[in-house]
Amino acid sequence: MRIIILALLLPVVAIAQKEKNAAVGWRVNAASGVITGESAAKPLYQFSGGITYARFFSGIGIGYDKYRFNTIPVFADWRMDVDHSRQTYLYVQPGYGFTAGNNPEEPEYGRVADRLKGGFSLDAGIGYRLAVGKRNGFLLSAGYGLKYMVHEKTYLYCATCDTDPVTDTYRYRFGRILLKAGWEFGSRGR
Amino acid sequence: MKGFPAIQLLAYTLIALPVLFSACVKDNCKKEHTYVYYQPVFKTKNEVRANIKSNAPRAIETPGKICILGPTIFLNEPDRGIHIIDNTNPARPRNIAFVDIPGNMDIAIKGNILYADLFTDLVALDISNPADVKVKKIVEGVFPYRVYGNGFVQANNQDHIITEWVRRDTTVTESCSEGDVIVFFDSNVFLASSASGGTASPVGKGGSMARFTIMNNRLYTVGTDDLDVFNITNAADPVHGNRVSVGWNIETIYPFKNNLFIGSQTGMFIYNVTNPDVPVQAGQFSHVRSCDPVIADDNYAYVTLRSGNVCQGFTNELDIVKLNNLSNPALQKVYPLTNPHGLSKDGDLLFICDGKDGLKVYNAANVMSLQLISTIGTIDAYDVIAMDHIALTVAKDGLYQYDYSDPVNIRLLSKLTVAPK
Repeated sequence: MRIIILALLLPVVAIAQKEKNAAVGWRVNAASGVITGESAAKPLYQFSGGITYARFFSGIGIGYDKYRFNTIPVFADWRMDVDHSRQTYLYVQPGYGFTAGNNPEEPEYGRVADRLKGGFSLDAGIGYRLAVGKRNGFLLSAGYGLKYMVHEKTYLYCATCDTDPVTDTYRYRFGRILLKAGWEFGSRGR
Repeated sequence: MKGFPAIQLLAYTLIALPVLFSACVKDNCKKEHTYVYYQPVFKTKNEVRANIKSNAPRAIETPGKICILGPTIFLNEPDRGIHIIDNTNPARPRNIAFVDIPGNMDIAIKGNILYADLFTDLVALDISNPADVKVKKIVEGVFPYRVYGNGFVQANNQDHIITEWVRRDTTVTESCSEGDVIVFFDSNVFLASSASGGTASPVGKGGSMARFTIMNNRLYTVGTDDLDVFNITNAADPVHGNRVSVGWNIETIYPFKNNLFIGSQTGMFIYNVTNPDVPVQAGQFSHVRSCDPVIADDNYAYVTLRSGNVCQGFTNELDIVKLNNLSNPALQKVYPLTNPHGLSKDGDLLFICDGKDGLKVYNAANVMSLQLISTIGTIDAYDVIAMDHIALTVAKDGLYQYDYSDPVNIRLLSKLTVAPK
């Protein structure tokens, strides 16, 4: 766990070396949004928390992504303010999506196993922050995201025979656009 | 960002995103279809027949049916041939030769002649010298039901014979949008039981799972629904005679006193062979759908019913059937078992291979109250021949021989281990 936290802090510390008179702060973010892609648009929910230092934020987060398959992405959340007024920021959220809460498929002839496996997920884009007081902010963001999934189905076409199974492995890569609205709360590093 | 408010940047981004990423906004899917298929290896008939002889011994991979002739054990390796084992010293059996017979599933012996199936053909072999086995005669096309499987049938290619199947693990990658599941049937070439067995002959003895048996100078064979008669008065020159339709899903045949006890998945048929060339049905005992090796003695037939795989059903038991009236065999007693396969009887001792529960030995002096004497529970046994105080047992992991001189303290004499595949 300590290694993960250090890994998350590393970009902040490394980049912020150039920043003078910076102070460490903290921040939590909650957002919901919509994911659009080739398939029907689906909702997205996210929560992340971490530290701020100068123009940078580094944290970890968890979400719920309902695009095609339901997944719970656990991700690193890195953000960088790109203007002095700290209204605009860029973000990147690499992580891993765990499968959760998917309904089993309709029975198929011969199918004896049906497994969903999660995979790499990524969300990167640009956001706009509307400060509300000193500690709060309203967030809007737009980005591009990837979600990888594996769906493995095993078939025994003759259940009463001593036969080898047949396996179909579907490897998905979903490229989507993610539009989010959220709220942040916390202190800001100078 | 002066003169270019952040909200404006975001707005432009929102507009630009779908354009910039339009090629990337896509649901990609790759499907990997992983399956096993078996590729046939062909040889010409001449090549196959030239190789039916005593070749160098091979490790046992899948023990099949067994037949004992004096000090020699003939052990079928399903679809491949016959191991010849010198059992002069049961404590130290020696694998001395292998006879290559593709498609071989069953064997029977009369005198110095061994009969074996080669897919649809019957082969008569001179085994007077086990180290120098020779073909005496081949009767072609007498087992037409013996298709190769996988859509290959001997009739498709009369000049060639499939000698083996090479397993191929295969993965095909395709776009998910190119169609749905392609149905590839895995190919266990023969779904018939590869359990052991054998047959009785004037000097040989076989097990309860045999499909070949010998009685009254006739070789009787059962297919899926037929009983075939071969005249073997001249042992080296088998002549195909009658074919009698018996029923469906025939599995085993066992000879006893002018009667053939034929096990099927739905019942036991009794055929009288007083006229050896014309078997006549004398009786029938029906049971639930299951596999049912059968043996018999003067008074009773012992029928094991098992479920699973090809056998279907949910019944696992030993049925004891009274034979005082052959035209109407009556169920006397049922004993529950785990997954019974082959069985054998020597005097009052009844041996039953009960699958993973091992080999069970009962005192059957009173069939209404079988007494379990001992259990050899460490082997997954599926057929047994008990004679001369030695129980020759075929199990998944090898060929065992037990000394049952003292049935309470059965002693392992030897084991020929199955080689890893």
